Amino acid sequence: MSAEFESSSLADRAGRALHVLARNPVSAAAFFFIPTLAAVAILAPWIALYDPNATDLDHVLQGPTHLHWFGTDQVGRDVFSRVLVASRLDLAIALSAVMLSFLVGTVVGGAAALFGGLPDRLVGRLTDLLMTFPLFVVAMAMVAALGNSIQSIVFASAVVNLPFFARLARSEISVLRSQPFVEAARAGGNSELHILFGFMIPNALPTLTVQVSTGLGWAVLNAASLSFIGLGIRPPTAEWGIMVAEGAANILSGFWWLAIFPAAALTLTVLCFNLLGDGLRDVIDVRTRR
Amino acid sequence: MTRNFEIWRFILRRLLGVLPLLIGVGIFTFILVRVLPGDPAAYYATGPLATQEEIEQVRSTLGLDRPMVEQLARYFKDIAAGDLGHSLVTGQLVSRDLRERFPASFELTFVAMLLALSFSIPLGIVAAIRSGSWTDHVIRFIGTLGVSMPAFVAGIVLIFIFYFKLGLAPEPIDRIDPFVLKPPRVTGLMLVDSAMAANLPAFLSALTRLFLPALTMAVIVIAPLMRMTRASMIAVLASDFIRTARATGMGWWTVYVRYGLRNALLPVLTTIGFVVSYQLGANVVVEKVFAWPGVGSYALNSLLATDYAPVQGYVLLMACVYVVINTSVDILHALVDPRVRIE
Repeated sequence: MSAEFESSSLADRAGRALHVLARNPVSAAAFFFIPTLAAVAILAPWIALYDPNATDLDHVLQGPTHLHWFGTDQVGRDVFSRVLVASRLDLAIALSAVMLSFLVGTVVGGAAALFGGLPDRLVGRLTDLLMTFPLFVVAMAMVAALGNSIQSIVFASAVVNLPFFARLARSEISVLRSQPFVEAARAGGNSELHILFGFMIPNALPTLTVQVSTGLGWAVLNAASLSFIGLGIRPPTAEWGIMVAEGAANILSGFWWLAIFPAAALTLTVLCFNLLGDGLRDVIDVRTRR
Repeated sequence: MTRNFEIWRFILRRLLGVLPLLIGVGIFTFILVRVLPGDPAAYYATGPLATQEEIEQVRSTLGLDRPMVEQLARYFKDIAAGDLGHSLVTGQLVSRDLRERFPASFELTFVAMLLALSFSIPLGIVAAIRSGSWTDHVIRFIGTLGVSMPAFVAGIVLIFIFYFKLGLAPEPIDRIDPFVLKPPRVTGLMLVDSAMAANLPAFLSALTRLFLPALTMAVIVIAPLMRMTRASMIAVLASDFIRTARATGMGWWTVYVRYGLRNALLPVLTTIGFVVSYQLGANVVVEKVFAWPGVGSYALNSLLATDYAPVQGYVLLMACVYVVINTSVDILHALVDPRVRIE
């Protein structure tokens, strides 16, 4: 794997990326859908046709029409506008959570691999301990302890991702540590800090990027599940998990659109992050390249 | 002789390695209850009208005014004695509540795992044999779609289709039809109990009620299991003995299943620990969606009611389940594959 890192230039990688995308149309679709999703999230308040929290008691529980594309809910709010606006919140939570676990995980895992000995064992034991609990249960407990706020959802979704980043960074850095080009850099008189940030982290980044993509999907899933069970974000905030929870009560009366549209948005988003992760893995990992 | 010695040494080492983990789990649950909001003494006191003195008195009988280390020691002593405290919601011992509800969660998770394996292994084999083809892409896409679906979305979609639209599934509430005579509780596993009582209507009712929640919990883990089967199958199929088996003209069953799958299954089994842990987390959500009377919904309701002794007991139980499963998988692995023992 490392030999590949040394020889591949940016142009090589871009070429390979295009090659892989061309062979895997599903990954390509995800690759182009993510920017669309980001644009929708950023522009949501301007695209949304109605105020997401404006009730309209004359038009409750109406099915999808040309006026209300995804129908209206039990108090007449426009489901389409709510799904759009919710994407901001869910993506913002996922993004901040993954950034947090990426930073902390890379530093902790990298330090464990660099120093070895006691710090390494300590980090190993702590991640093992964290993985002993179902991670979603850890997230539930964290939100209960920190209180119902967006910050606690972010922290909980970060902790859920943390062990994966720490383990990955640890294994990547410990492999890179003994690579000839790192030894050469050391022999050339570079400081340890410069070796870490100039040589090792840039080489570990591609693999960590795959984890970022998968982690984003998982953070979205985690945050929505928490609010679905009634922890963290509270109604009437437009959030996919809450919308599905509220819609679930109406689905058995035949008002399927309340739950199905936010559920579809949620699944599509997580699916795209997962497919993007798979696609990126194919780009980076030479072993799966055929 | 030496071989036996090696196995026993491995098992002993593995079991000893569990001890610090269990102590860590204990400390974690101890801290958990102390960081959760609310004053336990105020809860245990007579009610909202309790005076300050009464609360202080409860605090000292609960030992909450003692130093932390002493409280921790006391907590470990209580766990060792099987005392997990009282639930304020049910008014019963937490250990009793958990024992009553655990079989429901166990049955659900176990059947879900069987369902998941029976989908993911054949699909993984086919994807490996046809690796790179259209079939492979479609199978992998469907698997990824399953893993991308939050458990509650999968559950609600299945209820909508099978209960509301098609009317094939029974009402998504509880483990058995309330109008069916319940079998006497022996194991707590509804399927086993009704089979033992030779109660066919109860067995069928339990089976149909179990199907949708189990399918929900299976759908979300098919992808990781299938991916593992596929990857390890591809590695095995590339090896010399498979080439030889093919060259000698053996049938596909012998080549792919008897020789291929047998050797490819081990890596799949080692991921089961993680998959079960993921399922146990999803359990909370699935039990809420299907009003399933297991430990997950018990913990969630207690957490929402700020009743923390059950939450503590539940987290402890889940960690122990994970440790037991992971340790047994490792030991089984070592028994089957001698290479593991030496490391």
